[in-house]
Amino acid sequence: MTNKLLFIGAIIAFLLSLTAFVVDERQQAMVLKFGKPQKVIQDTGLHFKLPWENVKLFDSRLLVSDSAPNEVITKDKKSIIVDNYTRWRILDPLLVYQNARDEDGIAMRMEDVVRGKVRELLGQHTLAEIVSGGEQENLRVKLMQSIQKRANEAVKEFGIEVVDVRIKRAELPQENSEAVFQRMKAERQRKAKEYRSEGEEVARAIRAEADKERKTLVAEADKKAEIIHGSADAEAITIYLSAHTQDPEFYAFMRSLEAYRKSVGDNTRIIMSPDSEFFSFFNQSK
Amino acid sequence: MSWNNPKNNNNKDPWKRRQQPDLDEIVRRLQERFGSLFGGGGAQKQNGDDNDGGKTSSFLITLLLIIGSAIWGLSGFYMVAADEQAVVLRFGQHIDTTKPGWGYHLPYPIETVEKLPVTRIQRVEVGFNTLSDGRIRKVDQESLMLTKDENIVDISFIVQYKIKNVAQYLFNIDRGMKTVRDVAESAIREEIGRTIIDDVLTTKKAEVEIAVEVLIQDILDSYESGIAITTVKLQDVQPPERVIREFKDVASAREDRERAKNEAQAYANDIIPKSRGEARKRVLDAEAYQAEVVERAKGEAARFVAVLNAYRENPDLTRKRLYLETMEEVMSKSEKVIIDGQVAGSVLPYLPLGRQINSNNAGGN
Repeated sequence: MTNKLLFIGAIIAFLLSLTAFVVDERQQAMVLKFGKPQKVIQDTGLHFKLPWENVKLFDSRLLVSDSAPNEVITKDKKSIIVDNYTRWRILDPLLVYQNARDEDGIAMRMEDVVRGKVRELLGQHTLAEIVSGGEQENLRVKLMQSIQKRANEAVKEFGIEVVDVRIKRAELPQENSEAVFQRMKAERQRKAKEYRSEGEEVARAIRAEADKERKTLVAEADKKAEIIHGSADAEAITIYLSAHTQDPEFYAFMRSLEAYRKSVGDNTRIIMSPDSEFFSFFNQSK
Repeated sequence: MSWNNPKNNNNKDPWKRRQQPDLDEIVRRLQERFGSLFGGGGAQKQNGDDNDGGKTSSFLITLLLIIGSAIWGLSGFYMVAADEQAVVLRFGQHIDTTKPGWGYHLPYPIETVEKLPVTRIQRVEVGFNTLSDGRIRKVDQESLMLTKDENIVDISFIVQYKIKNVAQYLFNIDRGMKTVRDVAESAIREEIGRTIIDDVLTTKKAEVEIAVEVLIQDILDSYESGIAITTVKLQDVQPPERVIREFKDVASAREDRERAKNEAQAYANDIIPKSRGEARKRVLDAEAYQAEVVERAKGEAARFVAVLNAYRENPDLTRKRLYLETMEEVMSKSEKVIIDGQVAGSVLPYLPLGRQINSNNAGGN
């Protein structure tokens, strides 16, 4: 009896393996009979099928699709390389299967749609707007939302939904980057020059100002000095006069004697006649 | 041939057999086939003696079954570590989220448990990679980005995150780390695109970090990803390689400007006091001159007046004396030629000018 039970159990297990299947939280399933879709199962848990049917599992999570960067021409005819990712979800496995057999296939078709929308919508704006976000700074967000909406519309027939399209990188192509670098260089050089000449100008002004003040100070001092000189000389003259005018003749006499004493001497040859006053007693004693 | 033989009633007619499936028969047949794998040779016999061999094999099988079931049953125990959170799935359906500790679930394939660390902090490097030996390798495509004023800046940053909700993380999104990275790259470019390069390089770093963190978290929450961002940190913000020299030069230029100003100021600070000193000196010199001249005048005047007063007591005599004293001094020093008026008429006055004159030597004529 035990053996019988055992083998009945084995058969049951074998049958179960042919008919029972699990749909995980992360999955959704489609049942096919000989390659033709029968039904879609999105509830998670244990499900059953006929032994000759098979189950194809699809991901039910929010998936990410990241394709190669995309060159876009902006409204002002500039080139920009856009690298975006798309977050999407499978809504109806049946449609997915009918259109592309599996996730990878449908993802490729979705990417084409998204790329098209990216080109279309970004092409309506200038490069500056796209990079900076426009006046309200939220153009980037608005664009990504528009792309998502439009792409979502277009992929409905694939049985998927586009939940979010985000621009990871929006860059200039190589040549344009070079041009930007050159421009940045030139701008910085100009600024550096500006700073330096500003410095020189201010320095020159300070020095000139200082020189001017020096000249002024010295000139004023000289003027004062001259005045002092003058008043000193005048005062001296007054003092002399106050004395000399008491007897001008005597002064003349004294001053002349002093002059003779100082000027006539070692290097002088005097030719004189014995008639001079000096010799008045030379020839006679009276 | 056997089925045509009427004698062999025991041998069944395979065709007849097929029309009447008998479950017991089938089971017995299977039992015969598989029995040989389990028991001794006992199950081979179709009748009679299968009690003994059958008993042994069925006992063994039962024993194995019991042990197998026990092991299978015990496989349902699981442990969730202190820094983890676990989800229990029954036939793939999420029925419970459990906290740290021991737990029991119905064994596979009925229920499964998946665990993830919720306090461990993961790190995403954007713009660079830290190699195994600790060196840093830059990744230009990730780190170069456009600023609001259409300049290019080079930013490397890290994002740290942890899983805050295991169920959401497992069931809502795929590729968690890539999700964080993609969102981070998108968010930083959005922020930098709103900022001008000079702000990015200098004052607004902290603002950008905060804004990016908020943005990344918002987007991840909109995906119901169960991820919590703990930090966004800008590691390295600089102008691109190619223009770094020019950028650095601007800073140098600013320094040069200050230096020029300072040098000029130093010059001014030097010569102005010196000039003041010079000015004062000139005035003081003049004042000194003044003092000297006036004092000398006063002295001379006083002397003159004194002499005058003395002279006035006997003018003629004093005059004579002064005259003679002076002339004596003068004459004694100079070379003299005295020609008498009477002789002068007969002598040709010949005066050799230019001959050296010796004082005190009567050189004659």
